[in-house]
Amino acid sequence: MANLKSASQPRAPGKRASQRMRLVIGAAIIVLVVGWLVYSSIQGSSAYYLTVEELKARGPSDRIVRTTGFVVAQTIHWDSQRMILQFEIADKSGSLPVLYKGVRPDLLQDGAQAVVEGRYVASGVFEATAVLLRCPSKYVEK
Amino acid sequence: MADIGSWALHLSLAVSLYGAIAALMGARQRSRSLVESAEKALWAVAALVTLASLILLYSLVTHDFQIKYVYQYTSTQLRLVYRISAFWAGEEGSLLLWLWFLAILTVLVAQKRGRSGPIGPYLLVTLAVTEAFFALLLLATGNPFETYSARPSEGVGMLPLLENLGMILHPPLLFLGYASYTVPFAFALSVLMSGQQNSGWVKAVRRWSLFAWISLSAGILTGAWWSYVELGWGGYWAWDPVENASLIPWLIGTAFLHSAIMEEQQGMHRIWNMVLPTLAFLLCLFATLVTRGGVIISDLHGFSRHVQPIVYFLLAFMAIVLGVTLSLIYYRRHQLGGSEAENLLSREGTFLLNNLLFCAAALIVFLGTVYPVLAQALRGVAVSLKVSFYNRALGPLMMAIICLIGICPMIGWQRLTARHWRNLVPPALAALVLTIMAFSLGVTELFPLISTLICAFVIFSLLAMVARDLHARHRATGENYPRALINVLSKAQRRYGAHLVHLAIVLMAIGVTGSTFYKREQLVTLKPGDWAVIGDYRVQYEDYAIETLHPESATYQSRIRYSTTLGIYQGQAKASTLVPEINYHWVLDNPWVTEVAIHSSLKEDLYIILADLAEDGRAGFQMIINPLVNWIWIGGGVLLVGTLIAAWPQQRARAEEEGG
Repeated sequence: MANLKSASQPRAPGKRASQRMRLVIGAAIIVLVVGWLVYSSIQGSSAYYLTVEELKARGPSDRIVRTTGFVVAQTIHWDSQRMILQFEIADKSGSLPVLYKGVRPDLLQDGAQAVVEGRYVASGVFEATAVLLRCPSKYVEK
Repeated sequence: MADIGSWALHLSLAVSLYGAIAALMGARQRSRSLVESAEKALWAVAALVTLASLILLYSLVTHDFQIKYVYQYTSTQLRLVYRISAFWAGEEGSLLLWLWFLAILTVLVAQKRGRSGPIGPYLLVTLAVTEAFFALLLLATGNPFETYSARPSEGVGMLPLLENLGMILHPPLLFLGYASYTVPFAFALSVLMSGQQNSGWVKAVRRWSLFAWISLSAGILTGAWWSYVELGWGGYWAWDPVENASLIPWLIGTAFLHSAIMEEQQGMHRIWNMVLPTLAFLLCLFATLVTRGGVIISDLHGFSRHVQPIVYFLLAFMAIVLGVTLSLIYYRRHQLGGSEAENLLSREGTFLLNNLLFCAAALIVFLGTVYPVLAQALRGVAVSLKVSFYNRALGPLMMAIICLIGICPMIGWQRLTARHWRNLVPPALAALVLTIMAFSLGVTELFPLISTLICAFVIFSLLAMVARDLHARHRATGENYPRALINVLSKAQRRYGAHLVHLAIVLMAIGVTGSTFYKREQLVTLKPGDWAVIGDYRVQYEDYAIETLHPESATYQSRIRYSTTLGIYQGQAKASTLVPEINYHWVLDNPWVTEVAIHSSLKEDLYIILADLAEDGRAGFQMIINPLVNWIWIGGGVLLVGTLIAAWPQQRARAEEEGG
């Protein structure tokens, strides 16, 4: 049964083996390249979540990080003329002023859960390049 | 009414279990009467599930708010078409839809194949077990027929985001795709169970596989389109886990389409063709797990939802399916041998490469989707991947796959000869010239240049092939070129259908490249009468309105509508009038819903989001230019046509199939 393959294709065994070897090497190269692609992309594209406390402890940095928290009530300030959005988020470890230039997200409101991505700059403000808001479960029964 | 629906589901669970057992015993004992009884049972399941689905539809249409599902997703103000689409607006209804599609597909398969050959009865077993699983899933985790003791007079209504043409089409197409992937899987598993040795089943499964693939493709594309026109963030694909979950089975399904050709024509890839359909099926279940399970948290969709019971059902079923299939493959490994590709630079080789690349792509998307969960579990860190992960890791792979489209038809079986190399030269040269032209016109980044080179190469290579076929036929038969074209097309319908699909993929790649790398945007604040300039467009803010709609009853449809009227000018001529708006739905937890406005052309889309509108008419706009986006949707249309051509019954092929 195991010889079925070679029986159906009469060929010099040496040639077959070397061709098979080439095939295996080819496939191995692809696997390695893909592995490297994944590895390097994960390294380059990881956005770590830091708590407000960790962020402040590390100090100002150019690294893009994410932090998450609840939007503090009555801190949302939206300058529709200059399209600048300011608000504060708070987690268990403290609160953080956030500055974002862009359109005010639909879901931004007091108490909403926000994820902000950006840099913590020297003035102690988090300059967000992206503000994501997580919708609460859509399917709650009232 | 609701009781009847509920009973129909309970009965369908019992009957499909009976069908599975009868078919299994019939197959073991070679008893025709048992197999026929199983087939009848599957017809009964289809009838019962259809009854349940029609009852749910009827209740939605007639506002039977006593049923919780109807109460939660509709209201009396909802238009008929959205009352129907509410069928799949929630978890319970979408699972019922999935089961309904599955039940109908099952009787179609059973009628054609159920009694034929040794694999027929096993097909019935697999399909019946899957039906039973879905019936169980519905009854155990979300029965759509749960009722209140009293009947509320008005329902909650549909979320405004779901009131869109895309939401009418997107979920059913996606679920049709998911449900249809049960069929190729059932074929593969029944081949394994029956121990049948020949590869005839790949031919039988081809249409089913194409059907599942095109449904899933259409589902994904309509989802992307919905996201683009309705979600109002300026893009069509966000690499959100829920989106990824539908892409992964698509990638594996695409690999299977190609891999099956190798088995059909060359008797190769026999193990691949057992594994790929099984994976595609499992990944469709995984998609449900991601969407509904609450395990994988997405940044945009639901948050902090606890792990739902549906997760355990799905994981258990997936483990059983995987265990059974893998052990059967191991048990039958001696029968699954076949010849293998010997050279990566041959047509067999490109098909093997294609399988590897698609699986790698699927693995990348899968890893990206589960990475935050894995990192949390294994390393204890909270980390997520930025969108750039997918661009970096997947971009090169996709380019390689598209490049293969251009190479494969140019080279022959077994090994490359000098003639094949010569075939590749003209399209490659033409593509190089075009790329240099693009460079001189301002395309200077590396990836768009490579993308231009590869896309142009593939298009020229496809054209060169058509020209070669035409020329050969013209020389052989003396027909004029238009006539030869028709004959070539009808003689090689499958091949030309595939070429069209490949062309569609290239068109989409062009659209994706353009809109990813050359998207421009600006934020402006205008008073009525003001002008803004973006790209080649001049935009005049003409008028605005603030009005209250449906104030009398508080449903999801009640809102304050803030709208602006913009005149779009190109040169001196007015190209169109756009009305971007924001709506304040005071009943909703998240009351603000944006409606974007798009001026669309083949070159680019002007995409305008109203950010803010004050009482005095001062308004803030986000204006985005998305180059080449339309080619994605055009590609989608070509994809559909190409697949239909490839799957359309061929006179000769049909006779062959029925004879054999």
